[in-house]
Amino acid sequence: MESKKTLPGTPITGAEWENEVYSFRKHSVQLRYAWDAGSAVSGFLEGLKEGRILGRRCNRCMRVLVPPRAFCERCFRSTDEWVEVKDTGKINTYSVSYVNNDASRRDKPLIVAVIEIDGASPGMGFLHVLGEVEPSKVHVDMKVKAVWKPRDERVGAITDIKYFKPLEV
Amino acid sequence: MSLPDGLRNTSQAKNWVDSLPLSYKYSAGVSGQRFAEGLKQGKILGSKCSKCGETFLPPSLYCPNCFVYSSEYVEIPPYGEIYSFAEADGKAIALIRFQGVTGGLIHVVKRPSAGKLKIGLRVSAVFRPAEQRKGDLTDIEFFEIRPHT
Amino acid sequence: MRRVAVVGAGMTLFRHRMLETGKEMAFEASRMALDQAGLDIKDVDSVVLGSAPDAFDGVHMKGEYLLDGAGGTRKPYTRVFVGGGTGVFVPIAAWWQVASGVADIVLVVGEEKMSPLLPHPQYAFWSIFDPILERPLGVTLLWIFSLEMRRYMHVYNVSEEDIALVAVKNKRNALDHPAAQLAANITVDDVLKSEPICWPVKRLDVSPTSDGAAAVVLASEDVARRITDDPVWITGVGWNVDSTYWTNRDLCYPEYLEKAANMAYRMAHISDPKKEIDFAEVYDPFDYKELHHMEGLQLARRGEAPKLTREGVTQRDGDLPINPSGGLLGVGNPIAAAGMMKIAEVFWQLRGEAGKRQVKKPVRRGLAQAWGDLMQVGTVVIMER
Ligand SMILES: [Zn+2]
Ligand SMILES: [Zn+2]
Repeated sequence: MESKKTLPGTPITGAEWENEVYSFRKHSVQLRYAWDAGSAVSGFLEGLKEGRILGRRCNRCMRVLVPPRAFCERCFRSTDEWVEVKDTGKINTYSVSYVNNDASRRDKPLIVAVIEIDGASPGMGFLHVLGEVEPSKVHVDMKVKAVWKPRDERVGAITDIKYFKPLEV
Repeated sequence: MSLPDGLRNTSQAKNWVDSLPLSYKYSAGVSGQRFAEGLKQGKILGSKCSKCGETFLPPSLYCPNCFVYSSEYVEIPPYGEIYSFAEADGKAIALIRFQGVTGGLIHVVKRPSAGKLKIGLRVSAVFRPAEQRKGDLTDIEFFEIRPHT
Repeated sequence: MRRVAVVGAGMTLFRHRMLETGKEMAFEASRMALDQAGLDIKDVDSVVLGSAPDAFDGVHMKGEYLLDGAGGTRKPYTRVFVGGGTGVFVPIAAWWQVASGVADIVLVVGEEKMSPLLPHPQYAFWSIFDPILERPLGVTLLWIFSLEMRRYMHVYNVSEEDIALVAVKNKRNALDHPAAQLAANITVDDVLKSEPICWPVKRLDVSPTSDGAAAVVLASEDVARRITDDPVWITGVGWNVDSTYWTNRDLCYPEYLEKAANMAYRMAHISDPKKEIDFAEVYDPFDYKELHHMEGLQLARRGEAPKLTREGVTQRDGDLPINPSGGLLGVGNPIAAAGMMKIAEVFWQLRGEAGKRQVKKPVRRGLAQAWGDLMQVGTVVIMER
């Protein structure tokens, strides 16, 4: 490899890209989808609409799975029953996001966290955002509670929970 | 496998609607760039492989047969032949092949004033005026049937 | 099982944007690998290509789209995909074919062209998340990595400074790599003061998005002995995938990688990897990932990788050089091509062809590893002289 002076490839600089020094084609696609939620997540979304967080229990490994699923991926069998878990939990890990999903900067940073839900098996949780707290005050293992949208604004979506906030003692 | 209890009521089944709007800006590539520059100059450029001797259109950086770098770009005379065609929305689209060249171009063929389009008819490229050319296939406005064919 | 050798390697420059189309990059890397092996495309029995999510190119049959650039026309041809783990999985899928006797010579190609997607390639990653439970929250790929990094820092009490040392080392190593996109002499302070993207992840903790391709040629023992005096043998392969429910998993230790590594170590008869692996190219799209992966590979005890890094053990002249190429942080991260770059680096290092990048101690056995999807895939290849 060292015998080759340069490797193949023709870099395009930022200016060449912006000024379109080369020939470019632009193209947009707008793909729209209707994803079926499936049996377990449909039940989960229905629960959120009622202000409840639901999990599914597997009676072989006895885990309470959150988010719920129709089958236990470890035992590879159908799960057995619905379990209502709490709308509180503790922070497994968290981060402060300064960017949107297209890499543009956010106006205001957003605190995101994985929250282990009380009543589910240890380590079981989901992704959500935090509110009513400064980033510097957040810590791993902090107790948090869901802040729900008003009943008439809930539509059966993960965003029916506005955010999680620190649980006052 | 049975549905979880409480989900036998299919009216509860949900779906979630969202979109994935994606935009792209593609570079033409090394050979595509040469092809684009050729069109701008009113030329149809192909690539030639010195190993197997074949000429390809559109041009390619490498010979798809021999998997070696193409040895040169060559100008292809703008006279071709209709290999196959289709008609839609009042327009005729044809795959046009050129003598001694592998590949070809898909382009619009201007209908003859008399007679019908036929496979095997000889056609020639009509380029737009130089100042209107942008370096893409629309620099060829259309192909027209060559007289006396 | 037949023995399988690597007999040639090649790669393009890695850059943020390249004029070459994906096919053209695949060709250039493949041609270079075949040239090093002294082979013609007619000699190749089969081709395996790896490329990451279709959303980057917006061509939703990328394998077929790239086919002729990878030399796969009218041959047994496969595209494989396990997210970011793809780059090290492509040679594994090719190894099956030679080891089993299905093919004698296989061309292995990794390609990625991330630049076409607007406004930023990052956006494509949105499409890997659960559409119902995660996308409505505005999730980005950076979230999940910073969440993993934060958890790792918490459990083992690791500082941002310790993690930054990895970025400093890899970007410096990349100064000697002719393909490098982000080679630089930087300090820990530069990393700490770089713009926060998703704290604790800052600009200089992250590898760039890139265009590029890399390729190797695998051959059976008979063929390898005929065409080269210097074959490098693939003596162990391993791969493992954990649950997509990433929020239900232990984020501070990659168990799936431990399983993948153990599979490869068993095959290579390695019982004490820390002593028996001479150097490693571990997947480093983020600086903390190098530490995380050293531990999953059992090249360090849990929580010990930051200490080894601090002590200089992982430098090119250290006892256990890690990412002498400069890694993804320095050379660049065209996903599937980045994993293949690591395979090529282990090959060049073992043959003593790495030039200024050559690690100081004599090396006989090296390891390449990649990782990906929703932080759930481990792929491992062990190579020996
Ligand atoms: Zn179970
Ligand atoms: Zn040829």
